[in-house]
Amino acid sequence: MDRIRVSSQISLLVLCLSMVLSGCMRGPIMWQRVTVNQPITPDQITFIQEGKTSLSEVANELGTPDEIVIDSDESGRLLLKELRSTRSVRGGVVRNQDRPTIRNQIKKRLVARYHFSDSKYLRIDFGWGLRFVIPFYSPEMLLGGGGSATDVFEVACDSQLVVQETSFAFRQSFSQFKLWPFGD
Amino acid sequence: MRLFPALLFIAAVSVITGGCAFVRGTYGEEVKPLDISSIKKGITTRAEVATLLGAPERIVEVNGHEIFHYFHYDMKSGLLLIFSRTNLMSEDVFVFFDGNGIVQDIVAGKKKPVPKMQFWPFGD
Repeated sequence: MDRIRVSSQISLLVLCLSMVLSGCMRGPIMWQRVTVNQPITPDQITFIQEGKTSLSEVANELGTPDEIVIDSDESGRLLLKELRSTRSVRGGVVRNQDRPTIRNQIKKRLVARYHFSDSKYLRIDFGWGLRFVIPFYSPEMLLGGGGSATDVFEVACDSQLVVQETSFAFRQSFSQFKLWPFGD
Repeated sequence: MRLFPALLFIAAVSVITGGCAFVRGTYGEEVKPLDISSIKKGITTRAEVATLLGAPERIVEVNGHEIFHYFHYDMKSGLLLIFSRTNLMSEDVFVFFDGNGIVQDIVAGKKKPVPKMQFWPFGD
């Protein structure tokens, strides 16, 4: 009878301790991911006719852009950069690459931007198991890494908010779980 | 005697699920479609828009247009043991004004889907 009582008390103690301390338990491995908004693919923008489609029509199909900026020297760098880049160089894909991209032609346009951000992080704590061997000191021995990248879809409009040009920048492939933090 | 395995089971469940968290957060006030529909292009003034929708989060000046930018963020985050995923979705409304402070255009597109509550970080 005493034995049953002791085992019940022990199990009750284990239950209380595990419930109290379970929040302190952090696993030795952690995969984390954060995404912002949803990606837009080239298939989704086939309805856009440059010189005809309005920004409101684009918003009705794709949702409202996240940002509207002036495509001047200060804020138009990304668009200009992407218009000049290619997939082979930076992972960027551009529609109408044959279109002249002289700075004056796209200067002072209004640019609506859609962003899709994806961040991935992986961490392993090799010292995690030592807490069971050394109760009062559990050193962290971490290896971890990851990447964050943002896909951008830009819509350049004239002063009447009619679409003049569109461009994509796909960088999502740079967002990866990486364990090894050393090297290049 | 049946108490012991039952308590052990509860202890095991509490340890396993102790490493889980589900969190939701929002930022900013959501603009209601009804308020947007009462804004008329070429009629509604800047002050009336501010009365209807409140003060904008940002005011952007682009090519002589003054643009009121309203935004709202919705975030859902799930953590289960060693997996964690946070999804964030933004909802934006832009109101364009002409030089006289009258609404020229409203860009308030289709509503984006509500972010999913997920903990699995792989896949799409």
